[in-house]
Amino acid sequence: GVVKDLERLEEIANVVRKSSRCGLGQTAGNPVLQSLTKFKDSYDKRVSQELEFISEFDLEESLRKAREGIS
Amino acid sequence: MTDKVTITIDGESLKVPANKPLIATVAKLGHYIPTLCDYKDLMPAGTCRICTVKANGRFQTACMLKTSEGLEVENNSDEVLDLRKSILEMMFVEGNHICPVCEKSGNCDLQSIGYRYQLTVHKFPHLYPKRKLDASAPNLMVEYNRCIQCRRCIRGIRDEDDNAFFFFENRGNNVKLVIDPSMFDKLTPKIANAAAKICPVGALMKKEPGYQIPIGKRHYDKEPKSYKKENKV
Repeated sequence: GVVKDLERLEEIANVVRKSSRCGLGQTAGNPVLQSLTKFKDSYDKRVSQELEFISEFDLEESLRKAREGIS
Repeated sequence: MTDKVTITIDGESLKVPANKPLIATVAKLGHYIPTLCDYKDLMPAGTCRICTVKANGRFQTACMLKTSEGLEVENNSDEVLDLRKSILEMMFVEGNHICPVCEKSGNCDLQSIGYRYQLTVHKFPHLYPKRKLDASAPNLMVEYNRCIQCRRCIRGIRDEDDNAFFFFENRGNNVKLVIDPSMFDKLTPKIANAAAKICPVGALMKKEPGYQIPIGKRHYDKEPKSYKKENKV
């Protein structure tokens, strides 16, 4: 993942915590949020610090066949 | 029950009847709180969470909340709006809501609230679930790509003995709306019409030629969902 994914994770956890009806949902975000603050290093090691976004598919690879057909 | 209480909504003091659902009470006074699961005379269920407000410092759904003395409600603060937008976005990214090809477009509550809150780009990733359409019942089909699990049809569509036509299968993430096969005989075009009408999205559609109402004559074509439309002011 990328750094932005961590921010998104935090955001989703907050939304779930605030808007849930029962206690399960209201506390479901806690482990995620706490581990995000207390074990930030471990999270940071696992995400790419340089890339802004990781593509799900390889554009060059997808276009290869079409390009070969042309040349 | 007929007592009057004073509540504060966005800093404005209002005199309202006591112990009534907040959402319907303040709608009459011009304060719009969006909702997808609440419907005229149905028991509130609090399933869609879109009507979340901050009441006395806690986040609560306005449809389940009863009016009481000294209630302080935040309806349009940034915090509440952000939360509401996020919930709305989660509904959009969870299913496959493709408005341009949807028959319900223009009559859809979800679409209308989306316009109202100006959802253009999603910040959450789309899940693109693969779901099939179920057309096994007579007169009515269930399009799972659009269902938001609001329970309106379960609560609102009943036969004369108060038996529900719909129920939920599975739990949690896999929850799925099904039409009770033993009720197929009773599923008349009239009931199918009512089900399609009560559905806030296009999940329940009557089996008939589509796109019968032209663009421009649909319910939310001219302006998005608001208290005016809800109460026909």
